[in-house]
Amino acid sequence: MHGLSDVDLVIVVDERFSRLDLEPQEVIRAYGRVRRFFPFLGKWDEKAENLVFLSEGTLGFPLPESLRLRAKLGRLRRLIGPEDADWWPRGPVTACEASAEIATLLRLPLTKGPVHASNLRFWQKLFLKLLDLAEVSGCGDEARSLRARPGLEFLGRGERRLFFTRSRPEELYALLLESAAAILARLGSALPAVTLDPPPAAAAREPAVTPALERLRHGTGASVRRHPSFLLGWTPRLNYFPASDGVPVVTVEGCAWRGLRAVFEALHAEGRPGESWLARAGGFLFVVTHQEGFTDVVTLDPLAHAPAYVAADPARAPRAVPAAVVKEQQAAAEGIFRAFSTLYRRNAGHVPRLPFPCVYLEDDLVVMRDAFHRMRVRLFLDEGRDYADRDELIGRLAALHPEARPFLAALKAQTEALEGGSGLPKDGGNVFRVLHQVLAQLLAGVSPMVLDDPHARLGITVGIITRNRASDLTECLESLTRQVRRPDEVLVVDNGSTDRTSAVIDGFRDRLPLTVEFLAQAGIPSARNKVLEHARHEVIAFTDDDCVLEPGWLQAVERGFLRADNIGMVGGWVCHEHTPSPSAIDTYYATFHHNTT
Amino acid sequence: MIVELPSTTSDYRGGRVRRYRMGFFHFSNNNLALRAACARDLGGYDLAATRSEDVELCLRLARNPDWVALREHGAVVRHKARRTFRGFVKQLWGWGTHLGYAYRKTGLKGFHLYRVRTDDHQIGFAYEAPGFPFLACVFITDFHLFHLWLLLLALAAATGLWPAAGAAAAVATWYLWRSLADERRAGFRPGETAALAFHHWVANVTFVTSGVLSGLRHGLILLPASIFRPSTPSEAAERALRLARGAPRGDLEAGK
Repeated sequence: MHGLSDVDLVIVVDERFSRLDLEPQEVIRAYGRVRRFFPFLGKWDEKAENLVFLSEGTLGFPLPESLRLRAKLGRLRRLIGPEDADWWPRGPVTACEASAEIATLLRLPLTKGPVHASNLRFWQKLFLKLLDLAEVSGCGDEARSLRARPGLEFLGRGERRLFFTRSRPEELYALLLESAAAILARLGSALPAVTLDPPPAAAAREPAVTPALERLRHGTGASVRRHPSFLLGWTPRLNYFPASDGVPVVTVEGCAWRGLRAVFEALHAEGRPGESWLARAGGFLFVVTHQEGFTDVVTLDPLAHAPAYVAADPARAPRAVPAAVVKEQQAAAEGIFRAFSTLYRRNAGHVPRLPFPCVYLEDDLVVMRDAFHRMRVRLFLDEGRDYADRDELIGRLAALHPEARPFLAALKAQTEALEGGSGLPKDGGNVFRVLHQVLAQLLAGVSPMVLDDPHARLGITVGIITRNRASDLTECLESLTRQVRRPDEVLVVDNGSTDRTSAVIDGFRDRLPLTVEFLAQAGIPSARNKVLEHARHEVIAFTDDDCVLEPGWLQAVERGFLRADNIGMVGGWVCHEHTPSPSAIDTYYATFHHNTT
Repeated sequence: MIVELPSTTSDYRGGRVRRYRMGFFHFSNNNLALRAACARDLGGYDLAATRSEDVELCLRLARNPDWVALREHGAVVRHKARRTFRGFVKQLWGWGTHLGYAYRKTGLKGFHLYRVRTDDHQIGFAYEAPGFPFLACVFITDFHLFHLWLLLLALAAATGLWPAAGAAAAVATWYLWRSLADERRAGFRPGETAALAFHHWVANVTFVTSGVLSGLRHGLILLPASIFRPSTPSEAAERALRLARGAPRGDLEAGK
């Protein structure tokens, strides 16, 4: 595969390996086998970003532009499906595809780092890719004039000598940005255009100070402003900026290479997981983001992400965008929404099973924020208006779909509670199942929607086995009375106690719906089976007499079971109960023993 | 026989791929909730699995195609430590002593060898031979390697091979230093670190010994991994804990 971008290897697999479900262990193993013969290939961890998993068939996510381009040029091999599969791209290269690929080239010098960038061979490859792209997308004139540019004489020289020649990345990167801008301007100019107006003016504010921001300011003096939230494009693909946080925009003055590297370094060294900035340099916008374990730069392609360019423009000038680009992006968005709708429908009230044996966990806030983002882009496509404010978005959705009102209110309350770190509201435990139902129908345009009750409940029996621990049991039952969600039944099995256990239990009869069973013969499994046998409700939550329960415990258990019908077991975290004067054993338990399972 | 436990948040219904941590997965009895239908389907607790009935039930559920186990971050229980050294050793012995039964009951066969790295608690090297006539499940950690080199040191010293003994002593020291990575990272004072390392060592020796013995008793080769300090709980767990407590609290990671 000559030229083009930094995708090293494309694996096209079927939906069994959908990246939306699980890191595909079997693909990783297959990659390991390939690597045995080609040791120069990087480790899986390093490659994972460059691998593309395509999920065709039931989900049908559309192919990304870079792959569409390669497929059309015959530079990509397809390993599954019939030869004339209708999802396989054909026809001439479009402006969106070429510009997405050019944008990818601009991020390479930043992510590869100074060692690559000081090597002239690296720049030769980069410029040759750019020329290749210009030629295949019908910008031959620009390519010819670029070859004749002073400063780019090295393009025709031998590779070996270049490898040992030092480059000047500052100048070369500026030249790369300039050439890319010229080609992109030519790509768009030939087509009939529509005009994008900037969103209504709102004051940009000082962003919240983070260590990474401090470092950036200290090192470079770059100016950073936080803009009110805006969408990056017509598709729901890039979602780095949750609506409530706004968008911090870093403006790099002077040398683009040095400024962007400083931004990258600052986030890499001090960034919090999930911290993202938009950086403006040389007429382009870059998303610089720090995620758990890596930092990345994504160039925003000026055609596909024109809404971001208009919104972040300090001059607030309207922007002409080819109508064909808008149409293509909207079609891509519809394809993505169709696939998401299928995914949400499949997972409403059902958890897909992972290979033996796994447990699931969900980050509720991520699920909620993604849902808000997708609803927002859906409305943007339907009405041409960006509901950046979450309350406005909810208000509009409630007006369009009155049947979803209780759900929207519950979702809003819970998202705010999670973001603010306060206790979850008492009701709305079924919000996740309904969220999947709403998204499945909203993204597919179904109206009116058929939804479950977001405040649905389950009956819960709390099962406690006790034997001769009267004082511990007092604390345990005491914490049970403080639960946000009250138990429907507390079933205590007295496994042959000889102390004042029964007196302790009697003391709680007026405060808890207590039932007591006696089992003279000691044995924990049989005592637990007795609980299972005598419990009157559909969920049995076990705990021990030497535990103290957090107030949200039972509420969390209920939420867990409400997520899906095929969840048979819900566990949580076991933390350490601190004592006033911890002994060495206490320290051991707190450090190694608790919180491991 | 690897049991996989997602370590970080993974919105499996939203669209992000996260890495998975390897280790033993089971929910502990003191914080485990069952759906009545699922419990009926699985047949309840196994009366023969005294002390490891939770491990056994979790492994049974994991092998069942109809049900899924879910970890809910907000479900937090605070558990009291054993008060005496005797109780502490007894609990660790109990953890290992019925492991063999739970493993045998899965009906799995094959030879499974895993090297577990000390720094991140991930599987570094894995060898699996499913054709083995019975179940052999061996986890190698720095704790095990330290003792292996200690054994070689003793053998070399007993046979009078002093240069070999010196080399073995050097390697054993290296593995000891590495196996103490978690204690060093915990940030205690030297005296506390020594006490912590001692208790950790006692816990490991007790648990591994009783695990090996229970494996032999049930006709399988079982060498459990040593007990690790949990890796940093995910952000979501911390957030859930804050929610559950209603106040910010940063002691989850440091554990003190």
